[in-house]
Amino acid sequence: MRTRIKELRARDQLNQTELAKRAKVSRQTISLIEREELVPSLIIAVRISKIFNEPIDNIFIFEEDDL
Amino acid sequence: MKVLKQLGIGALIGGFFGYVLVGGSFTLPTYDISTELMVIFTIFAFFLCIFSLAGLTAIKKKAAQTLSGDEEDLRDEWSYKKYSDVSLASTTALVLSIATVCIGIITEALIPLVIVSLVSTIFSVIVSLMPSKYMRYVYPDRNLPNPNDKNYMSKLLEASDEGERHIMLNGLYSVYNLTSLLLLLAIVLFMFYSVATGESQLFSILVISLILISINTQYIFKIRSK
Repeated sequence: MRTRIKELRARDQLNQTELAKRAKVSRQTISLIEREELVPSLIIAVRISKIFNEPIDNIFIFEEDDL
Repeated sequence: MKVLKQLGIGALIGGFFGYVLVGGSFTLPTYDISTELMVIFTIFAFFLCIFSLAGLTAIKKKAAQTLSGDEEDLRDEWSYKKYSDVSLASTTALVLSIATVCIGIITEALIPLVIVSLVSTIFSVIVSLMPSKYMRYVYPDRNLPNPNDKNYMSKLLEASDEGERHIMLNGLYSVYNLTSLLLLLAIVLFMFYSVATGESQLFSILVISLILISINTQYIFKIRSK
């Protein structure tokens, strides 16, 4: 799974700490998701999607093999 | 090349144990170097405690700075790593101090040396308890349990989010595997040591076997009841 979190953070001028606060998770969690080492739960994916005002599948991009 | 290297290491270890078993005259000079060991361990423990205290002070100082953007992320990352280093250093200091006291008691070392090692242990215990009180500087916006709370570790796990649990799970699982492997190796090592020196390590082998059975039973019972 690829994520566009880093790109969207840059677009909205958010650092990891601020995004973590808004998504109600730790910065470590954001960092893991951003480095594609953790697939977030649905609730966190929804929160991130609302923060960036983007659909979930526009932030978390699944390859054919993942599905 | 890798196979040759492994064969070489295996031959060296096998050769050493073969020589020891056939020769039958191997002993570690533990009693002869007990004073030196105690002094070295105490100095190490002291420096690790000082490193821990300096690290905690630095974390508190950094937490007081008002930063934004990437600098805030870098500070957070730095604090997290520093806190991990401090936890490792203070735990190592505690283990070294306890080992020093054990050496002192077993070898009937000089009383002043035993007293110094006891003081070092008390100092290490105090320092090893401090990181949990500084957790609020690493996680300023988190509602973390109080270290004095009953079931502190369970509450801390509950307060962690999925990313933190993922990190802990990876760490704990590798520790679990490493512990089992190292304890098995320790049993084999003690067996060779007993045969080579004629000094029975049977009690240690029994204790380690019980620990191995206990941790594996605990793990299996935890996962099979789910």
